[in-house]
Amino acid sequence: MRIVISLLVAASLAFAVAQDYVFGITFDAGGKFDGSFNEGTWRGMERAIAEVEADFGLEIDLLEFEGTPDTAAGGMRTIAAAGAELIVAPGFLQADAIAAASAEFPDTAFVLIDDVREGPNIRSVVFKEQEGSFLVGYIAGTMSQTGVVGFVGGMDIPLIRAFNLGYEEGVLYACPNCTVISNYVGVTPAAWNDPARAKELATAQQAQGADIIYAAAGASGFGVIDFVRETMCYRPTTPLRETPLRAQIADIEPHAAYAQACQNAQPLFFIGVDSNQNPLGDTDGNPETLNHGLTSMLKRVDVAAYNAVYDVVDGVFEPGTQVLGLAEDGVGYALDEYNEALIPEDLRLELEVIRDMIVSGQLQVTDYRQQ
Amino acid sequence: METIVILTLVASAVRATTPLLLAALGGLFSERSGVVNIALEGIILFGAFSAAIVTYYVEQPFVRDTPGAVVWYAPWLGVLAAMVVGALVAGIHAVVSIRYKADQIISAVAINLMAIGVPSVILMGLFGNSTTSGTVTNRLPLWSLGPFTFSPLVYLAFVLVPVVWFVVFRTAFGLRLRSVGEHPEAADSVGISVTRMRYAGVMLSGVLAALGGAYLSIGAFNQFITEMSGGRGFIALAALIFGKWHPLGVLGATLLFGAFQALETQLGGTALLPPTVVQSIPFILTMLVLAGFVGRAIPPKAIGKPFIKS
Repeated sequence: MRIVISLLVAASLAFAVAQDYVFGITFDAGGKFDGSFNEGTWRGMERAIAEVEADFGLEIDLLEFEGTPDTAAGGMRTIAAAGAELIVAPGFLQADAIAAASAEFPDTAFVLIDDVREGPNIRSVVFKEQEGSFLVGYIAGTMSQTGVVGFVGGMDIPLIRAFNLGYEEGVLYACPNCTVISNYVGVTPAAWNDPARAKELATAQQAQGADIIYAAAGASGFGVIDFVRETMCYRPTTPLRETPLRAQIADIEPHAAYAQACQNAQPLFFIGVDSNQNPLGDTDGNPETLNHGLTSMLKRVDVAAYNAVYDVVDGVFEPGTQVLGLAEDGVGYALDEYNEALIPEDLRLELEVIRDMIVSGQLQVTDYRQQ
Repeated sequence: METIVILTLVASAVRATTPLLLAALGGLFSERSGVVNIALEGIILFGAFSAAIVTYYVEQPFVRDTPGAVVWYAPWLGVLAAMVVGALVAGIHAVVSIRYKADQIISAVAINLMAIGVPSVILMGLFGNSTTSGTVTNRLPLWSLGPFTFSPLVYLAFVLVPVVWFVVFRTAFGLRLRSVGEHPEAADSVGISVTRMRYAGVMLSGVLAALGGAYLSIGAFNQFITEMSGGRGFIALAALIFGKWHPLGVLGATLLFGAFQALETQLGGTALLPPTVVQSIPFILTMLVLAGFVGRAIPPKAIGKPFIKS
């Protein structure tokens, strides 16, 4: 069926010449609406395309391919054969596919996100995930009342280990006595699609005292978020740390389900990843009441995709490797209407200072991949 | 603190066991009737998919107006849909392998592949992406039992163990089912319809495996994600062999695998129990059993062989 669709797309493109540009995006695992990495990339492209169409009066087709790491190269070829000027591939699993397809279509610009491949028409965009993770780790370490925080990774790979290590360093920087419990869903790409297991991991971490859990696990991360939304709170069994969280929650009206089930209990939080997942922490459709998303580690894949579209349209697309960190605003933490009541002013200022220290090199965050 | 950790461990083991147990009990019906069913993995996915989709669309009219609206029957209709779809998908396997006497492995592999592709295509049409369904508001309820709260399907899975034992070993239906799996010619000669018994066995396996899938999508979670079965159908198959095609053996095997998974969940991140080792335990044990190192696994004699009426 999917082949039929792609063929139809290809055929219709061969005849239609109305559009000025054809762009493509190929997904490997996790899917388009994974609420984070893939979706962020796609939204960045959509936004740029909508702007370009409106501003320059151009017509642009965006072809999408959702497949597996094995079929990604085929998807790229189909889209490139349809005359695409630009193909964006979010995911290191597509690195080899890009290397293969880009050689066959020298006139198409390829953007690989999360891994590096060399080629005259390949731009590789990688991020300093450890820097953004350090910031959200600092938030977790500052706020955790139990002194125990969790990390749930998807597939156990160096990239996710980089999230993990940066987070851990951030937590310990804020709270040297805190404990970070880290777990991984699995060791195969199936680990990105197993929310049931991620939820079990979150359950286990909470039982060991974690009150804030950071998920960097693709679609499996929904399992962690689901656990936090469903459980909502914990009853402390050990003395709690005095943290700024107490004062913040005191000023927030609890949502109805929380008020009913969580008297004399403390709230649980998750930390989202890649895209801003804070809205997922809102259980009653009212951002004013207590939300369970403490913050999200933003990895601006959307900016990478957005810039690529503009570079191609402006004719200034350059191949090579881009490394985006805090200095380039490529990573950061999310602050919006859903968590502004949770993050006090003091903490925001501290985060500003830490950010500057990392950018200036005064504070070194270890990159797991460079060890 | 310690008791909490232990309770969590037990609860986690029970939850991990549930989809395995449901699928393995299903596999028992199929294999006892003489039809190999490695399509359990795919049927779990079809079950998970239909449960989520039906629940989603049943509750939609209410949830659209009032977010969080309670539609108590929505998840149960989802469960029912999973059972029906499970029976139908298993029915395909049955028709191909019983009526057309095709290779049972190949037919089942085809179903497993379909279970990856078909939901994707339908999701694309319904939700504009090929990997996730919308989230359901009304998932299956949680029922408490002592310090535990579980989805009803968890209780069902464990209650089914004695039920399946009774059906297979103490009823005329069970006797016939086993006879067509052991010696179809003999069963045929005393007037038992081999074909009909095998259809029943295979379709029952579909119903039960799909329940395992429904548990994954609307019991333990609130949406369908492609390939969310994560190999559980194959572990169930391993449990069926490890449990020697007996309901109690299957219970023991799935509990063992579930307990290992829960232990790994609890101790994961420490070097004590590397996840990769734990994940391969079901398959290593199964191979040992098949090789005769840990007891002897004797499958139904006529398993995998199409019956040709002379």
